[in-house]
Amino acid sequence: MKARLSSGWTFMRVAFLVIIILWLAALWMTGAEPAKESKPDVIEKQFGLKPGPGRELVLANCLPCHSTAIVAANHLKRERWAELVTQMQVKNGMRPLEETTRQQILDYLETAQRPDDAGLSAGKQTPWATPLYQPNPIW
Amino acid sequence: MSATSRRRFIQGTGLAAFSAALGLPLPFGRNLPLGITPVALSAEPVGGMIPGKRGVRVLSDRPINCETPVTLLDDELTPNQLHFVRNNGHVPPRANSGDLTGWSLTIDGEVGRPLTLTLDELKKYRAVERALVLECAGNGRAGFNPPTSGNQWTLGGVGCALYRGVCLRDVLKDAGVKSSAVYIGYYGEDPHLSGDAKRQAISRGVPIAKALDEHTLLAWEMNGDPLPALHGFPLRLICPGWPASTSGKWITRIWVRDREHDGEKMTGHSYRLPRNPVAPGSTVPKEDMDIIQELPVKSLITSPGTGIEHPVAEALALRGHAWSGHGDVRQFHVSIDFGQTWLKTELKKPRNRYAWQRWTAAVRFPVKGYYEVWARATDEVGHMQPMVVPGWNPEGYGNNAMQRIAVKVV
Repeated sequence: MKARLSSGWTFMRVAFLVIIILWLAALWMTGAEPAKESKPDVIEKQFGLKPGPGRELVLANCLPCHSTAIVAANHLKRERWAELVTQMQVKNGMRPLEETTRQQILDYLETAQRPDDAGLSAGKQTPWATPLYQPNPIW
Repeated sequence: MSATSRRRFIQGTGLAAFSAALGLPLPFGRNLPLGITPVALSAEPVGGMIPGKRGVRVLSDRPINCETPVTLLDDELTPNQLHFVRNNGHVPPRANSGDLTGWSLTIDGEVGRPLTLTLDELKKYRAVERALVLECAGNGRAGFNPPTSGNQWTLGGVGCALYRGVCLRDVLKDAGVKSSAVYIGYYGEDPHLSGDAKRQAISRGVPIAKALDEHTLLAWEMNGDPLPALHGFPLRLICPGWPASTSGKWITRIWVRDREHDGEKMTGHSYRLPRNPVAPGSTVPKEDMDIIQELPVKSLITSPGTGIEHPVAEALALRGHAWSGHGDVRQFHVSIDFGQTWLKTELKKPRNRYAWQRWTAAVRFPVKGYYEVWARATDEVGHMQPMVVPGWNPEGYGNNAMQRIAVKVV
């Protein structure tokens, strides 16, 4: 039962990856994915990730396991993104990455998902949110 | 107005301009602390589609994570369709098919008599029914600054449903818990996101004392229905008052351990807080982190929603819920003047321990203008909700800051 389940998932992952790669290739060939800054393109609308160099690597390496909503919702420093990528590999079965690939992924995340952009995330727009720990309201 | 332009706007203007933008005077504007954005300039997030859910805000569709908009949490018991979901792996095929073939619950480890029980056999133990609050430890994570990683829960990673099941302690006593028992660890059928059958999506637990507490349940019913697929069909653990991650779903095994459980998401930084308070943004070594136990006192304003207009001549009815991982909430207060003065409200007793409690109030506003209603609970151990987001921690747990809503009095 478990073995069958496992091979089924593996097949689904491979199939999913192939579909994503073909789709990205198709988008690239039809010129639908120019990296225009600040205007949501078709990929951003679908996956929530802003245009930028390295975005296709994020899609290819993160989407096999989880949706990119969690990536788009997080705004972190490069070191924290690096920890998370390592954690995905050590604990969650993410495949090994070439060093250049890893750096390109971190370049993208550091730029597109930086902490000072956190105000753009849904959470910071909630009524109770007090986005600034400083200045201390009491002083 | 986008968040960025709103921020610039706040930074670049004084109260006068602020009040002009709102088209209203700010009666207690002098009390408005620096760095706090009046909530009228904030926006409520919108929902998405998840099978079996309606009106929820989807944080992630794979794994499924969704929270409930605060005004939809107004019911005494949170309907199954509205209750938040925090999944770590995939929903098991059995939960979707409802097929119990081959399912059993094993109790083993530090017990004299290991048990393997079918659902029918489990139902022969004394059944209990309790309304219990489940809250994600990361509920409120979106409020931390600097931001912390993970699902950016706002207010709605919490719910209170009626569960039917058995006391875990009745089953554990039947199995004969040995004196060497220290902790329990649960195992569920949810496949790991990678599809790797050798990995656990999540396997957490609680100390044996909490496992033997009369409020810790093995539940098969939620609000009168068999557990929904997203909530753990056919059986889940409920450890009320503690991070909901201890209330394992789709469980098939409870392992009684002779040491602290070390399953997936028990170690490292997961579900842990710094032992000593740290400055926001600090790096905290693993060995300086402790497992979260009771969640802090907290409350919601479930009616009205933020941003309403209200006539100055009439009293405004307010209500919501309050709860605490430490037990009962003892007092509830609201303020309409940025915390200068506080009005004590009505507060109902809980239906049972660890159920949330209804608070109600009616407030009158002295003159027209922009107001915020702030609301805070105080629990039986004397803990009160803080005004600011408390205790920054690396994973963004335990934000129990007071909720506030904006009211334009016209």
